[in-house]
Amino acid sequence: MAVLNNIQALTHALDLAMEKHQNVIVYGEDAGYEGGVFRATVGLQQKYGEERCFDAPIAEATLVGTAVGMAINGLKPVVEIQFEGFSYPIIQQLFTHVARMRNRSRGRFSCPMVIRMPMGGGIRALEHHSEAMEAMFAHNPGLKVVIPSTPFDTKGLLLAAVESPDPVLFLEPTKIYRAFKQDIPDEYYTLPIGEGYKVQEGTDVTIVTYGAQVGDCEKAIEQLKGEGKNVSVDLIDLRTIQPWDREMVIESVKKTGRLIVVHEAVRSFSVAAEVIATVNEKCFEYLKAPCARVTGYDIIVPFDRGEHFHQPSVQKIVVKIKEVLDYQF
Amino acid sequence: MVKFKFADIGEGLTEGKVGAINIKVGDKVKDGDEMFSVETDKVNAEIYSPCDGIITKINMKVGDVIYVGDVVVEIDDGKGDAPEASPAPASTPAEPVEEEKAAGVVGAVPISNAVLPSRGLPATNNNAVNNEHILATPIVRKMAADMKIDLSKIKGSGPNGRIMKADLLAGPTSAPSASGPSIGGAPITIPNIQVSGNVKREPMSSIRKAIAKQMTLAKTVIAETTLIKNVNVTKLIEIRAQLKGQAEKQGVKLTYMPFFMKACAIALKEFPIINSSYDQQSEEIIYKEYYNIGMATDTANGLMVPVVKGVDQLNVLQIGAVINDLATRTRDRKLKADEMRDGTFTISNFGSAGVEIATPVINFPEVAILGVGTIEKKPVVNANNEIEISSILPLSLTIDHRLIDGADGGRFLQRVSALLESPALLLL
Repeated sequence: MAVLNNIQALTHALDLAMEKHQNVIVYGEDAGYEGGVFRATVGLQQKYGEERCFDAPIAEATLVGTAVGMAINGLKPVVEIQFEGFSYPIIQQLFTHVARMRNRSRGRFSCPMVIRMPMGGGIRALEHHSEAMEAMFAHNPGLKVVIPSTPFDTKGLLLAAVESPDPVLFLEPTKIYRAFKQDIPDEYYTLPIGEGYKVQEGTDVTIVTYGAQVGDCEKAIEQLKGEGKNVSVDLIDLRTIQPWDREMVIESVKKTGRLIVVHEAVRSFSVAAEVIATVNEKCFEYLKAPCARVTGYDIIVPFDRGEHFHQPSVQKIVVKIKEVLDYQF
Repeated sequence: MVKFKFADIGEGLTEGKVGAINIKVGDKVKDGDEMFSVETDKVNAEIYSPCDGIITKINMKVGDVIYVGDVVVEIDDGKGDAPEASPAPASTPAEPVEEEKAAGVVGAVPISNAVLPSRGLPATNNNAVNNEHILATPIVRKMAADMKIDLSKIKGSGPNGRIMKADLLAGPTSAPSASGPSIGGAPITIPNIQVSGNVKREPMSSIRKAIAKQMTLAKTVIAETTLIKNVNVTKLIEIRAQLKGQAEKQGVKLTYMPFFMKACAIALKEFPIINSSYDQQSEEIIYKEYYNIGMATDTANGLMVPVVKGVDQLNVLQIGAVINDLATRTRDRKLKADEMRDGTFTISNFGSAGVEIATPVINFPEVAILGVGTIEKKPVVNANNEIEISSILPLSLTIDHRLIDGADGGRFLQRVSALLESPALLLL
């Protein structure tokens, strides 16, 4: 067992993937010599050579376009986009080719690749560096979207993404790259894409979240306990956004009768909207209170000074839990 | 801040009507000051302040019905609210770790060596859904909350026992609950029975249980009232005496009951509301165009009500024959279930037990019942202002006052009386 943070877990997972699967190719802007903007690929070029880990030109569309050719010819590209906000140029390749290769070839080809990118705010970054647009990717049929929240999940899910026969967007919450560490197994393991993780069992309210907000929700629950409110929360870390673990969420809401979805992505047409709509369809009669969401707002992520207003803070989550629990049904 | 709740002021009280309110928002009150008064079925109670403080909110008006558990007054006792959530503490600057400093090429990525608890490899956990939870749409839950109905006490009539809006509106009619009836939607808790001294307990028979259930239902749902009238049945006694021998030859023991039934059948045709039922869910009156009259019969096992079907189609002697048959088989417990069903009206003869006047309980879903008392000779002032001895039969008609007005009930009773006073009409 090693105690690693999320970045170290990523590096470790990529190392294991390149070691085990000879067709894995890792590249991106500065991903080779420097080891990437956040140093996630550090040491890989030295270990596996320039043919398997290299610097790409500053041309995101090309990075993914090239990956299409690699993928349909049997390689497994793992592409690093420097920030999610830089992903807009890849949309043409992603939505029109990558996501629909399997469908348009009637199953003859798939386009298996992993596109890694840092996502989300909370790090006082510049414009286009703090986007959380997972819903946009999840909305597009043919793509899997993964957002880990811990080093353990990061490793297991990244290895699962590498093994996936279909393209996976692997979104890494920047705020928690180095925010904490975790004991993770040394060996190669995968976690199933599409299964959530029950962080804690509870009976009063279900909180569905993922990524950097998992820790915020845990802190909110702790804060409520500190205030003497012994709230019993069923806390679910979705881990993957598309496909997402409907069964776990529905089962939980049937138990608690209350639902809060927490994420930093903008509110409208969001993962929260999807989860709440599904709960309405599948277990409406169990609801004791209106489903609630703590999210970012429908605005471009603000810069440094205003950024915290946009983020779903611990305090906002605390207030929402109280509101939902106090609702008379 | 003290949120003062209206509490049970005794005897299992669930609600009360607000009488006078002696406080207003902003008033200073002392512990023990009278705040308001509540009228209940039994008492007028004064409610006192539980603490010193300033009234900040009054959640009731004079005349409001308040329920046990309602927050009726809020008093600022100077101690403040339960502590609100304090702002999130600013994130503690993580301890810098030398070899990781180079990480933040863009922005300021938080760095910490804090270690999270481990996550295990996925285990297939199949938590069963807890079926104790009540099925009801959120809107029904909202309604139930407004009506102060405890959903756990309601039996749902929807799919999988889902509680429907109608279940709430119908109250105990469609959803009788084990804990008994409810008032204004608030379920009544039946207190445990305390006994002192020697007792013997025995389980109730199923007939007794059925009677108890039916009587509770009738008494809970129906707004009953009883009308009483004395009838001069001197001529009826004569006619019966004349016909008795004739009937016996045909194997019929002729009692007064066939005459009562015939009179009722004739009157029921003329007053269809007495022969109806009340569909509470659809708020409709169901008029029945058939006349099946039950007769409450005392048996060793308890009261049973065999039904004479199509009374209007039978003459007095035929009715007598059916009654003889039913009565015998009732006492022998050989009645078939359908011979006790589909009644539209009931006659209860408590006269045979020596009772003159009673308030018979309607056999739900019927809307009226006629009680027949003991015939006694009494002095009566006749049309010529002379006192004569007549045979007087007291009749007690209980009606469902939700549906039938007193005057309608009176006219029906008058018509039955007239027929019994001139019994020749029954033989036509």
